[in-house]
Amino acid sequence: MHTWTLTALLFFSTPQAGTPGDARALMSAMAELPGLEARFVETKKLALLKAPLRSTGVLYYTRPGYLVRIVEAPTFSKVRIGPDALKVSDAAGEQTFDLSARPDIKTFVESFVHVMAGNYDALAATYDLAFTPAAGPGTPWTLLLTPKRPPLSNLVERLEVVGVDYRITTIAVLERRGDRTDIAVTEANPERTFTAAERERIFGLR
Amino acid sequence: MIRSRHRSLWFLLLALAVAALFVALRFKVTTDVSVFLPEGEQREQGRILGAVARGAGSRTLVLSVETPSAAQAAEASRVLEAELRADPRLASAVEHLEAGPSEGTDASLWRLLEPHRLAYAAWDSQQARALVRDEGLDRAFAGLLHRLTSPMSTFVTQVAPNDPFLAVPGLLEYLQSHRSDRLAVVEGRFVAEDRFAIVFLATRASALDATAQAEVFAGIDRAVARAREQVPSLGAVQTSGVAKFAVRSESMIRNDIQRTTILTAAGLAIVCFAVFGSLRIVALASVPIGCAMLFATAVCLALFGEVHGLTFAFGASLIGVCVDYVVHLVVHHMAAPASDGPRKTLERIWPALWVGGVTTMVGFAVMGGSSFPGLRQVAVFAAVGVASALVATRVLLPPLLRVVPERGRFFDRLGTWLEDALVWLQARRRFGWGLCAAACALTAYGVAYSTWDDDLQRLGQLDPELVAEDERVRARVARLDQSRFVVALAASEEEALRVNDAVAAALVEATDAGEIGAWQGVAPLLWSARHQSAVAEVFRSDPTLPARIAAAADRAGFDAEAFQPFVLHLQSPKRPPITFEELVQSPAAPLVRPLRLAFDGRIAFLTMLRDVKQPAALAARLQGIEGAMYLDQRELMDGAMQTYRVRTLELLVLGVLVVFGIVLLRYRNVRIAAAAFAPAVLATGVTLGVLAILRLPLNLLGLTAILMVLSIGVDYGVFLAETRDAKGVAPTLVALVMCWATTVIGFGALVISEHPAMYMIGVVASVGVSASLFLTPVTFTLLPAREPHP
Repeated sequence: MHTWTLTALLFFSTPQAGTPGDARALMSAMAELPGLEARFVETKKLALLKAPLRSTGVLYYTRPGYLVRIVEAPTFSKVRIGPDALKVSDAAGEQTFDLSARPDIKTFVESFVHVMAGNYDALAATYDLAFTPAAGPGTPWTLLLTPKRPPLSNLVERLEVVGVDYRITTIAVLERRGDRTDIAVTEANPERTFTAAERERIFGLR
Repeated sequence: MIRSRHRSLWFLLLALAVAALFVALRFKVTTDVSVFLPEGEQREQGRILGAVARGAGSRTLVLSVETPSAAQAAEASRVLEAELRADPRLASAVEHLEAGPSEGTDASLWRLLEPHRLAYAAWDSQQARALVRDEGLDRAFAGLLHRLTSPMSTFVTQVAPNDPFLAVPGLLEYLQSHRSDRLAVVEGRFVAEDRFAIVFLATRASALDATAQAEVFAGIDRAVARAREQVPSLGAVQTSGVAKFAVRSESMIRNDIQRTTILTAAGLAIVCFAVFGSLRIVALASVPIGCAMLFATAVCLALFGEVHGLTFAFGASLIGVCVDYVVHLVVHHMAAPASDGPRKTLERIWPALWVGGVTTMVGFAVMGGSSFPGLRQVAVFAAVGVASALVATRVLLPPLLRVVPERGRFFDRLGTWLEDALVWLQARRRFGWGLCAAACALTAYGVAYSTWDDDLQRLGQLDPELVAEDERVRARVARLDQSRFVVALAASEEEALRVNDAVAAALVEATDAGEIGAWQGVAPLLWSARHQSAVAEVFRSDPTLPARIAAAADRAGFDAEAFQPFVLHLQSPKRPPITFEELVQSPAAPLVRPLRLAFDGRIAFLTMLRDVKQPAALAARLQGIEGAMYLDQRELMDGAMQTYRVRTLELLVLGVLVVFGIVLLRYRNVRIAAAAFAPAVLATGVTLGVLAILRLPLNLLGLTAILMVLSIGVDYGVFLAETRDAKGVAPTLVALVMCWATTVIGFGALVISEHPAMYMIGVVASVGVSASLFLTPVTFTLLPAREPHP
C-alpha cells in the first residue's frame, strides 16, 4: 500500500523548468498540482509468488486529498482514499475501512495526503528523506524515503523515487520481507481538473 | 366487652408494628412491565424487554454537538470528551464514553483472534467443508491473488503465509463495514452530517433512575460549558436516550405534585375549617389510609416478593375510597353523637361502611382471576387495603374521637340545604328521570365514541420538542433500531451462543431475502464453543489438506512453500475456543458488551436489526430455532395492553355483577339495590361520555380511576340506602358531599397536571365522583315513597 505514496510522486510532472535541487523544491512543485490522471503499470515481486504479478490501471487525484486507483487487469478493483476512510470495490462488493482503527494504513494515507499537498514537513515527520540531485540536465535524481518508526517501518524498508527534471519516472518499494514493487507511470496529466459530475462519479464527492 | 376491645386494639397495633417491620426489611419496588403481560410467551418476551430496558443499550445517551464544519466537530469532540472525563462526579456515574473508534481495537482483536483463525475461516462447518475442497481452495487462492493487486498487498503478504484464507482480516473487514452506519470518522472522532460531533455515553445507573440521570445531565452541562470556553464554535448540544425522558418526566411529576399539593392542601383546609371547624379530620383519615397501605404492601411483599410501581398507583385510589369511611363516621358523630360515645355512632353506621367496604373488596378481588400477575397483585393490594382500612376505622378511630369535634360554620347550614334539596328533588321526580335519561344518553355516547390508547409510552409525558430532538439525533447517528431485535435465550452462555449461531445463519438468509436491511450481533465475532471447534476441526481433521493446499497454491501461481506456517498451524495443538469473557476484557468490549443480558438465571444474546421490511417473514424464519425470538418492542407492548384492557374490562363487568349481587342480597329489594347501585354505573358511563366529548382516549391509569369511581359510587349508594330514614339522611348527605369534596380536591387537582397519566386520573376522578354525588340522591328520590327498610 505504501507504493501509493510513491505512485503519486511519479505523476508530479510540473510545468516548472529545470531539475529540483532538493526534496523541498520537489514538494513545492507538487503543492501546485491541481489534479491528476495517469496510467500505471505495477510489478510486484513477492516471496509468495512464483512469478512477478503485473497489474495495470488508472489513477485519479483531486484536492484536497482524494485519490482513486482503478486496477483494470488482471482483475478489476477500485480503491477510493479520503482523509479518514478507504473504500474498496470489486466483484465481491464494496467495503469501507475506518482508517483510525488501522494505524498502519492511516500512516500511509496521511503520508500520501501530505505528498499530494506538497507538505514537506509532514512527510519528513514520517520518513527520513534523502535526496540525490541529478548529475546534469536530463539525468535522473533519486529521493529515498525511509520510514522512521513502526508500524510503517515494520513493513517497509524504504521507498526509492527516481525522476528526471520535475517528472517522476519510476518508484521502487522495498519491504522488510524482501518483497519489491516497481511502478511505472505513463500518460500522466498533472493539470487534470474535474467537473462536479466527475468528482461525484469518480471520487464520490458531492 | 371493654377487655375485648382493648385486645382488638393491642392486637391491631401489634400487627401494624409487625407489618411495618416486615415492610421495612423486605421493601422492594419493581417497574418491570412484564407483570402486566399475560403469562406465557408474551410474558416471557416482556421479561426480556424489561432486561433490555435495564441493559447497557438503554443506558446509553447520544450527545450531538453542532459545529460549523467537520474539522471543528472533531475539535469540539476532543475537547468535550476531555471535559466529560475530567468531571469527577460524572466520571463515577459513567460506565463508558465513546467519541470515536478506539485506536488499536483492530490490533488487539488481531492478537486475540489470530490464534483461533481456523475457527473463523468459515461461518459454519458446511462452508468450511466447501472451502477445503479443491474447488474451494482454488477460489481462495484466486481471491488471495486478487488482494495482492490492491493497495493492501503489503499487509496481505504479511498475513497470508499464516492465514491464506484471510480469516481474521476478513472478519475485521466485516466488522468495520458493519459498524460504521451513518457516522463518519474525522480525525478519529465520530462526526455526523459533516458538522455534528457525536459522543456516546453509557451510565452506570438505570436510564429510569431519574435522580442519578439528573446528576449525569448536570455533569454534561458543566462539561459543555467548560468546552464552550475553549471552542467558541461549539453550538447547540442535543441528546437522545431514554434517560432524558425519565428526567423530564420526574421533573414534571415533581412540579405537578408541588402544585397539586399546594392546591389540595389549601382546598382541604378551607373545606375542613368551613364544615368541621378544624383539620383534625385530615389527621383522622390518615389512620385507616396508613393502615391500608401498610398491610396491603406487607401482604403483597409476602406473596409476590415485590410490589409493582403501578400497584402503588392503583393503591393510591384506595385513599379516595377509604377516606370516605372516616368522613362518614365523623360527620354522623358530629351531627348526632351517640350518648355513649363514638363507638355507638360507629355501630349505627357500621352496616353502611361494612357493605360499602365488602362491595369494594369483592369488586377488586374478582380481578384476582386475571391471567396477568400484575392485575392479581392489584386485586390483593386493593382487597387487603380496604379490609385493613375498615378494621382500622372500627378499632382505632373511636378512641381518637372521644372528644366530639366542633362543627364548622357551614356544617348545619349544609345539612339543611341538602335536606331541602332532597325534598325539592322528591317533589320533582320528572326532573330526576330527566337527569337519569341525560346520564344514560351520555353513557351511550361514551360507549359509542370513547377510544382506548394502548400505547404504554404515552402514559409517560413525551414532550413533543423532546421527542423531535431525540428523533433528530437518532437520525444523525442512524444506529440500529433499538426497538426491534432478535433474542437468543438459553440456560447457559454456551447454549445461548448456540442459539445465536443459528440466528446469525437465519439472518444472513433474511438479509439476502430482503426481509431486513442489516443486523449486528455478537456473531460472527463470537461463535459458540461447539461452532468454533466444529469449524476448526474441518481443517484439522483432513490429512490431505496440506498437500492439497500446496497444489492449489501452485496452480494459482504461488510458491507453495510460503504457506508452510499455516500447515504447521494445522498440526499444532488445539486451542480452547474464544469466550465472551475474553472479548469483554479486550478493546472490542463495546462491540459485544451491550448485546449480552443475564436475567432469571439465564443468558440472552441480542441481535439488533435495521430496516425490518418483512417482520412476519422474519418471525416465521426464526420460529424454527428453539430459544430464538423476534421482538418488536412497541408491537408487543401495544398487543399486550390491548389484551390487558379487554381482560380487565371483562373482569370489571363481572365484578360489577357480583357487587350488584351483594347489594341485592343485603337489601333483598331490587329497587333499593338498583337505586344504590345505578348511580355508580351511570357515573362511570357519564365519565366515558365526557372523555369522548373531550376526545381523551382512555388508558391504563384512566381504567384505574374508573375502578375508583365505581367503588366510590357504590359506597355513596350504599351509605344513602343504609341511612335513608328521616333521621339519618341529612348527616349522610353532608358526609357524601364531604366525601366528594375530599376526593375531588385530592384527585381533581390533578387536572392541572402536565403529565398525561396524572391528568387522566384527575379528569376521571373529578367527573366520575361528581356524577356519583349528583346521581345518588336522584335515584333514591325516584323510589316509591316509604320503601320498607330491611
